[in-house]
Amino acid sequence: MSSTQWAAIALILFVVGVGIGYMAAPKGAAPAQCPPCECPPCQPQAAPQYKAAFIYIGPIGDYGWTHEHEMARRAVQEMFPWLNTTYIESVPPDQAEGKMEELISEGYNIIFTTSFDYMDPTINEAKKHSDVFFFHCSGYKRWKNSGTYFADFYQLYYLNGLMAGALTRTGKVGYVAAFTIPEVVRHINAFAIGVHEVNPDAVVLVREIGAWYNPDLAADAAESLISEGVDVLAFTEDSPTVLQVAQQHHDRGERVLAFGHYSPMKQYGPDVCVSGQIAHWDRILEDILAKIYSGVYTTQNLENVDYWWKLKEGAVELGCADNEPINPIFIDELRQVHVNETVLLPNGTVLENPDVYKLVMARMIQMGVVWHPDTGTYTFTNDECFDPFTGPLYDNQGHLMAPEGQRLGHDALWTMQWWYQNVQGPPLGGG
Amino acid sequence: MRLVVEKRTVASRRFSVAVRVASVAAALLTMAAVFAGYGLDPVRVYGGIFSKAFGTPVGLAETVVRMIPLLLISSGLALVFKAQFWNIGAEGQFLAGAMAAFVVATSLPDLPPHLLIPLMFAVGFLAGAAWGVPTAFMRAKLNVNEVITTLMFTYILDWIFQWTLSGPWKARETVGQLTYSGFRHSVVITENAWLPLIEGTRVHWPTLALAVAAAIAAYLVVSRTTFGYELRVVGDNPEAARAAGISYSKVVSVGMIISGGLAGMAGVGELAGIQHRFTAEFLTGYGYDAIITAWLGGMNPVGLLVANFLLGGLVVGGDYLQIKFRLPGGMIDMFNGTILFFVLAFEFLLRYRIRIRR
Amino acid sequence: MQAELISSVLWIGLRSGTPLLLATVGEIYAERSGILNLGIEGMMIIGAFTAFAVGQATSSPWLAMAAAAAAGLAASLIHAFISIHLRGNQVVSGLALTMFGLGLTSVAGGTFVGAALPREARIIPSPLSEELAAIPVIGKALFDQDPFLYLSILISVLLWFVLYKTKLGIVIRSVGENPAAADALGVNVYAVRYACTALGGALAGMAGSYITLSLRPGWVENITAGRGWIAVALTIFALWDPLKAIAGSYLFGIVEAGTYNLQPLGFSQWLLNAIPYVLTVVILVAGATETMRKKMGAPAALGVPYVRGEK
Repeated sequence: MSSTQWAAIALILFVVGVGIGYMAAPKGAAPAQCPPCECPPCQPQAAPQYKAAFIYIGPIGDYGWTHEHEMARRAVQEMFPWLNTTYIESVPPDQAEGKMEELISEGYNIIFTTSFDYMDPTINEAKKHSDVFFFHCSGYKRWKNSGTYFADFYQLYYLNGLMAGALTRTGKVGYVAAFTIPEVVRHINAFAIGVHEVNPDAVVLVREIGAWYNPDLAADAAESLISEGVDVLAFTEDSPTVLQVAQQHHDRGERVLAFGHYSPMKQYGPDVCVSGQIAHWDRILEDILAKIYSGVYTTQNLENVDYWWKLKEGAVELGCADNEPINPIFIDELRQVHVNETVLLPNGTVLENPDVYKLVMARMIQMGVVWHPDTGTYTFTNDECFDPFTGPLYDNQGHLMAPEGQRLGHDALWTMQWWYQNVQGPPLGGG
Repeated sequence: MRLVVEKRTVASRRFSVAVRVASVAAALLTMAAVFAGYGLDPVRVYGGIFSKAFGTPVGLAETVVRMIPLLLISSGLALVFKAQFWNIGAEGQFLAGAMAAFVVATSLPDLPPHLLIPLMFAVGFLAGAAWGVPTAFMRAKLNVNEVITTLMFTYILDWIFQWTLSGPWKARETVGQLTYSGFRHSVVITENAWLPLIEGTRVHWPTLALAVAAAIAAYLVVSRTTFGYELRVVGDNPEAARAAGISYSKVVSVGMIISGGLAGMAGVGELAGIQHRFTAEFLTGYGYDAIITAWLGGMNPVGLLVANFLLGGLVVGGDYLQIKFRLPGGMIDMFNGTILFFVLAFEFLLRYRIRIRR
Repeated sequence: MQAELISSVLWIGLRSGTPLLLATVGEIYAERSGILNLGIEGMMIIGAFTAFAVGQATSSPWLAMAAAAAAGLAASLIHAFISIHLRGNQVVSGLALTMFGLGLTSVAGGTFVGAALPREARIIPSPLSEELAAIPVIGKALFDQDPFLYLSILISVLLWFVLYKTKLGIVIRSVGENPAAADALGVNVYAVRYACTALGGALAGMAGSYITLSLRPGWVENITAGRGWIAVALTIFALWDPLKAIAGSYLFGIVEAGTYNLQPLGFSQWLLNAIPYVLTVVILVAGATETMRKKMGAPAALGVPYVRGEK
């Protein structure tokens, strides 16, 4: 046979194969079947009414951003017997729409997209599938069936900053930042405000690494900060690298402390991790899903549903380990440092010249959370009478960004592109 | 009794197709063992993958969406691979094409689509070629290994691209009352530059047509032209090529222009057909996957079409592994690696005959 | 202050250069015997993962490193078999090995994410002597490192000695230059090629173990981050000479470590991040010009399968 004939046969076989595949495929909605693993026991009489799918930007194995979203997915899967969940990891934004199409065709009717870069794809799909719920994490575009949600850390970064200011001996505090987008700038400034409140002479040095997930760049940035004399490090980046670097210096007898980020990361630096931020996306998901189930949310009324949850809702937690706001080995040192100010608690208590440990706890109460060290639990008061972004705030060029007593609102925080007065960071803005 | 290995002079086409099919089948069997190790029924897993990727309208459309850039890139790669020139940097040439098209679309937003879109593809071709040619030149003149340079060129352009998103191309966006700045994405390109889609899908058919045309054209170039002949001689027997006065640098440079250019056009299709704006995660690895399909499909339009369609389907079906079976995403990489190993191993049968001699 | 900064950049540079060095020296051996193995990245990450898993289970860094070497060796044998016995395309086989390694470790590593490595399993730098380590600028980099780093230098020097000063070295080089001639002299070409590829795999595995045991203790996906490719480039830069590989690897590590100290001077970090890759290209071009000048190039039979009596 000639090559053309062979090509023709190959083509025919190929078309036939596709045809058979098409015929053999299950039609219409996928029949309810027992999920093969790790889901709660299948109850045929109470088939799940809702199927929620999560689209992740990175691997679950990043132990940062994606990992915490996955933890939350598992938590709500446990929580709601009527819910069936799944996920796809490492999805590049260009494929997000395709994945959503695939998931919707599999019968998934609640889609969570957990990266800023999914913003346009999510809205596009929401417009196409008006009967499906969409929730996009960290963006700013909504639609009648597409809400947004975000757990914000800036209050925690401020509390971390208070501790960093008390613990630095060199007067130089370092910050490894993935990107200087408004979210991260907000974190850095909140951190710097905390540092400044306790230690007005200290400076915050920022290194931008240019990647969300790149342990090598993060390590190089941390080492570069340390070589410039920094002895306390915080970061916004998706791996525990900075903490590991600090621990490595500790193991060699040098004093370098650090704060955790996103996950409970204390195991990576048990001797150096002072505190940090932990996300509890499950709190937000729980609320969203319960409201969908009870009919509060419909595919018509999400246009203005924007979760921006912080401490008082329990969406974020202070510390680098669960239920441990401050690593105990640092508490004594924090108690040695006093701050010359007066703090008024909601119950009328007045603290004069509090030590930094007390100050952190007091600020936390002012932001709606009470920590009970004896029982190791939190209570939430849903009462927020303090915000770190309260004037007077000056940028590092000396401009007044908020006058005395004025609190920066949502919009100012979500578009923030200036450095607080004690920050030395890369130039901002552009575009 | 002993085994004797003899060189085969010519393998029949029937035999070579059979060997290719057998090698993929062997890879599938090996992976079946892995699935079984996870306690999954391999038949159900494969059934799921195939019916998902080829059996549903949504799956089929998505498979084609994946196939478009892969086919375009792999046509060019198959061509240069014929000359034993290993262009591993198609990902960077893809990005170069997209970036050039972005510049065109943002500087001439008022040009009507029937002028703007062809212009973008043309400029994309040139940019992709331009980003590739230095590596061919370095190979020809200095004997610098192109595997590394093409890869390094990709990394370099990616960081330059990331810089543009943090600097010159970073764009404000106004939603309602509020203007958001500082986020790392570019403006959305003018709608004049958006490629038409097949209704109800994301299939940008102009790029699909280009891809099919490219696969056929590349085949004709290699099999019917003098240049194609030179290309094959350089690949098969460099010494003979030199003796015959064939210019190595001309062959690999022209090969690279075609290969880089096609990758650049794929980048244009991705920007104008799918994403419409740059985000930090614009690149998704098409340039690397196309290496596999170029190798699998060989310099043959039907082979390329089948290989790319199957790989596109594997990616779409691979989601099914995650959605239904909660298998990790890395499984697909393992899959691809295994297929390549087996194809390589079975190639042996094409070139050698094994006989049992008493 | 400035001296301290340079001293710390040098210190980190040597540390980050260590996995590059081991992998490069391994690849030098494979290529010297005529086998081009582009799968370093894959073997390295398999080694990195194995070291982490074993280190966690046994708390012994040396056991972990040995296991990593064994795992890297095992992975290299796939490539060796395809390249040597099946005479397959070495470029594609190497790429396949890289893909396979990245995929395999991502699948196998799932449950290890977030686990910490016990302190006893980590390799921690400590000063050889306080006085030496206190020498300004270079003291810390040279005398305040971990045993693994010194070991890797020792291995490189030893392998240089073997390659250039022993009969075995002549045999290896002759197999890479002219396998038919070596064969005629009674050398078992296949055995030499298998051994060299396996050595390359073992060293790549060890290189990976240094990442998870010392440089970035912990397990995350894709932890090798492209180092394998840089090692391939360094092999060429070093002109297939283990001693030059030492210089090349450390130079590379130092440049990488130093870029961040330029950020405060107003350089964009993105463009700084591209420097190592630009440097690789420059290094390659420089290396190539050097090989041309000295009229010595890659092993003549690099990447060419050997079959007795066949040309």
